[in-house]
Amino acid sequence: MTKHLEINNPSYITEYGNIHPVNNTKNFILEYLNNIGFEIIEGPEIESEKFNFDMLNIKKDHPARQMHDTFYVQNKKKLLRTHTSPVQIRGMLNNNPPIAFVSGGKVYRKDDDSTHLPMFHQIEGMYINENVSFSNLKDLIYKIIQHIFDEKVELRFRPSYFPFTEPSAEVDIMSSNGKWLEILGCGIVNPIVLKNCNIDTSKYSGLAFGLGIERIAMLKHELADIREFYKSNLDFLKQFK
Amino acid sequence: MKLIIDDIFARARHINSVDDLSYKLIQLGHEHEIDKDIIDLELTPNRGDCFSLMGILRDLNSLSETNTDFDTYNEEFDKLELEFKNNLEDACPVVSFLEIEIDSVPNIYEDYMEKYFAKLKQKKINFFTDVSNYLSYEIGQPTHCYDRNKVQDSIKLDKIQESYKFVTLTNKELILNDDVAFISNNDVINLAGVMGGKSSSCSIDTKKILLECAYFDSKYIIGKNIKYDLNSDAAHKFERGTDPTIHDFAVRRFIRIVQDHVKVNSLKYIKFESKEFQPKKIKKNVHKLNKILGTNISDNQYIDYLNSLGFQIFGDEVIAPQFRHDISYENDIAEEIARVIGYDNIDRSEIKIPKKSDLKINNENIIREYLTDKGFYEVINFPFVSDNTSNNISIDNPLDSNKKYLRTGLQKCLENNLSFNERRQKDSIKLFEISDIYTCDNEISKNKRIGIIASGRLGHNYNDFSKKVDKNYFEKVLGFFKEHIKEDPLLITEVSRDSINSKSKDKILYAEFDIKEFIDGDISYNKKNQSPTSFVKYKKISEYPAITRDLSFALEDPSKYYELQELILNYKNKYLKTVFIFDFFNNQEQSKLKIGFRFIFQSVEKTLSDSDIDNIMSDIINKSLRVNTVKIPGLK
Repeated sequence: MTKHLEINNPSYITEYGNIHPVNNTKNFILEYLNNIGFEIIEGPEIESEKFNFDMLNIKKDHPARQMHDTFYVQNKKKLLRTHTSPVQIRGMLNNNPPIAFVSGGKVYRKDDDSTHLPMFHQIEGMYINENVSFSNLKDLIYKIIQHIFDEKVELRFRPSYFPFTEPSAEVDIMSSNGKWLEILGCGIVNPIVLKNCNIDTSKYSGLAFGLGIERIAMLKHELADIREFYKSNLDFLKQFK
Repeated sequence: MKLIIDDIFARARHINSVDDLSYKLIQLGHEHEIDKDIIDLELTPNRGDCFSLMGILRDLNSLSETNTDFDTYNEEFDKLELEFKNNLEDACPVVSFLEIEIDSVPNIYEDYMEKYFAKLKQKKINFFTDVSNYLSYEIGQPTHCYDRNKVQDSIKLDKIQESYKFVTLTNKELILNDDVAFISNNDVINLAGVMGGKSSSCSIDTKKILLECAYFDSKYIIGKNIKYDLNSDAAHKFERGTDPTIHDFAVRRFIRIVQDHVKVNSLKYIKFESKEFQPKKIKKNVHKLNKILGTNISDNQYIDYLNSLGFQIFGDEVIAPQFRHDISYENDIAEEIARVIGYDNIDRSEIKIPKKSDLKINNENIIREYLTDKGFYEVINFPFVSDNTSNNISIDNPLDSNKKYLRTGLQKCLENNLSFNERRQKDSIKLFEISDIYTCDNEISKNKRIGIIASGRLGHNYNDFSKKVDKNYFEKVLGFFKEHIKEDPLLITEVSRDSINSKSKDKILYAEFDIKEFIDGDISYNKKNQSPTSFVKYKKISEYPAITRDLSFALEDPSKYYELQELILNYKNKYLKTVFIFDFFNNQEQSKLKIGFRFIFQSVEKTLSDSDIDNIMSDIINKSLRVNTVKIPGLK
C-alpha cells in the first residue's frame, strides 16, 4: 500500500517553465556583482543624445558616433539607447562618490544580420572612488570572468578605444579550440566624463566595464546562432532547465 | 586596412616571425587577421595615424626597432603659378599643389609597386593614380591627381550650397549639396577629401598632372562615404585624422616614386597654409601616471616609453607627435605607456568595493520564479511593430518600414509567439514576457508591464493532460498577483482566434498589467523549482514534423509499476524526443493499475516515416511485455 501512495504522488509530474536564457545569464552576472558591492540601477531605453553620446564624450563628429547605428525617434528628438552607459551617467549625476553601480538591459542598434540583432542586452558597471587604478580594474575583471567561466580561464587584456574610458581595454578568453574570444570592454573612466557629471577628478577616479549578455549566454550554452534567443520557440526555451 | 607582411618585415628586422608580429600588434591594440602573407588590421577609430605601412611601423617601433625612413626627392622646386582661393580655411588649412611632367608613361612598375597591386589585389588605373594610391598605402597621406590639361590655372575651394550634379572618376553620379569641393572654371573637379571628378581625371596616356595634397579637418569629411554610398579610402583616412605636417614629405616621396619609374621633365610646387599647427603639450606627471595605472614606473622608464612612440619630453612637458590627434590628457599618456608595457604585464591589485546595500528583493525576478513554477516560459520580443496607435512612438529610421512603431502593449507579440508554437505542433503553450513599454501623449512615459498568455493542455502529466486552459485556470494562476496588488487591475481576456488566423478550438487566455504596483520587499514567494546549477548545452532544434504515439499498459501487479516506468522513461533512441505519462489510474481495491505513455519522435535530419517509428515502438513493446504482469490492452 505504501508503494501505491508513492505512485499516486510522483514528483516528476510537475512541469516547470523557465526564465529566458538571456535573463537567466543577466541575473547570474548581476547577482554576483551585487554581492561584491555593486548597486543595481535601471534607466530608460529611450534616451537623449546628451546622455547617450555627449556626456560620454562621444562627439558629434567622431566616427565612434557613426558606428553606433542609432535608431532615432520622435523626429530625432530622442533615440533608442545604443548602450547601457547612459544609466551610469544618471547614476553619477544623482550620487556622490564613492559609488558602484551596475545595470543590465536592452540596447538597440540599427543592425540585423546573422551575428547582429537590432535589439540585444548589455551589462555595464562602474566604480568611482579615490585611487581607483587600472590594476584594480584588472583584478575586478579577473573576478567577473572567473565567476562567469571558471578559475582556470586564461585572459588577455589588449588596448582598445572607447570615448568614455582612457586607457581602454578589451578582454579575451582562450577558448577550448585555442582561439581568443572577445568577452568584454573596460577601462579607466575618462576624466572628461567624470567632469561632465560634476565629479572632482583631482580626488576621484573610476573604472567601468561592459559586456554583451547574449554573447556570454551563447558561450555558456554553446549556442551558435544569436537569433535563436528571440524566436520564442518552446523547443528552444525548454532546453535551459 | 591590409598590409603586406613582407613590407613590415623588411623594415622591422628584429621581428622575424608572423606570430611575433601578431603578438606585438595585439599588445599595441591592433586587432587583425592574417591570410598567408597579408595582414588585415581592424584599427580603432582614434588611430588614424596607423592607416599606413609607415603608421604601423611607427607604432611597432615602441616594441622593436623599425625603419620609417622613406627615400624622397630632395632638390629645390620651381614655383608653380597657380591662382588658388581658399574660401574654407577651417576645412582645409593646408593644401599644396605639384605640377609634374614625365617623359613617357611606364608599362611596368618597380617590384615594390607591382607587389602592392598583385598581393593586395588592387586594380591598376593609370600611372599617376597608381603612384598616388601606393603612396597612401605607404605613408597614409591621400593625394589626388588631376590631368593638367583638364584643369585651369585658377582653382578655388568652396562650399556647394545648391544641388550640383557631379560625376566621380568612377563614373558615379552624385547630387552634391552642402559639400566642400575644389572648383575650377565653375566646374566641380573634386569632392574635397573624398573623390575626384571624371572631367579632370587622368587617363592611361597622361604625362602631366597637377597633384593636390591637402589636410582636411575630419568634421568636414565625416559621413561622406555613407552619404554618397562611396568607399573612398581618402575619406576614410581624413575622417580619422591625418598628419597636417606631412605634406612636403608626401609630395617629395611621390616624386621619388615617379622617378623610380621614369624621367621627370619638370616640377613646380606651391603650398597654401593658413594655419600653423602646434604640437600638443601635456604636463609630464609620473606620479599621476602611476596612480592611473597602479604601477611604479620610474622617471626614466616614462621618458623611454614615450620616446619610443615618437613623443618628445622637454622639462616637464610631453610633446605629442603631430600625427597623434588622439593625445590630449594624462590619461592618454597612461594608455600609451600601458600599451608599451603590455596590459597583460601590469599586475592586478585587489579591489575592495565598500558595500552600500544588501541584495535587494527583485520583484521582477520573483514574478518570473512564480510563473515558471506554474509551467510558464519567459519570452523576449523585439519592440518593433506595424500597428500605429494614438500614443505610440515612431522610429525615424526603422530597419523595416513595415515595423516603424514601438509597441504599446505585449499582447500582439505574445499572440504571435503562441501561434508560432501551435504551428510547430505544441499542444500546451504557456508564455509570459516582462518589458518596459514606452508611449507618448504629451511626453514619453515608461511602464514596466507583464503579459501572460496560455492555450491548450494544462500540462503534460496525467493530472493535467486532459484539462485545457480556461478562465478558471487562468484566474487561479493570476490569483497570486491579485494578492499583491492594491487595486485589482487584472482583466483576463479571451483572444479571438480570428486575429491569429487559427482553426484550433482551444481557448487563448491573456492578461496584461503594470507591475509598478509591486513595491520592493512586498512580495514573498518560495520558489519550488530550483535554478539550474550549470548552463546546459544547447541542442539543435528540429525543423521537421514530430510524430506522436501512445501506449497504454495494464498491470495486475502494481509493484511492477516502477520497473515499467523506469524502462519507458529511460528508453533511449535518437529519434525519441520526449516521453511522459499522460494517463494514470490506480484502483487500489482491485489492485489494478493502468498507465498511458505518450512518445514524441522527431529528427533533426529528416522527416520521420511511420516505418521508422514502428521499429522503435516494437522494441519498446517487446521490452515492456517482459515486465511481469504487464499487458497492453488491445495489442494484437
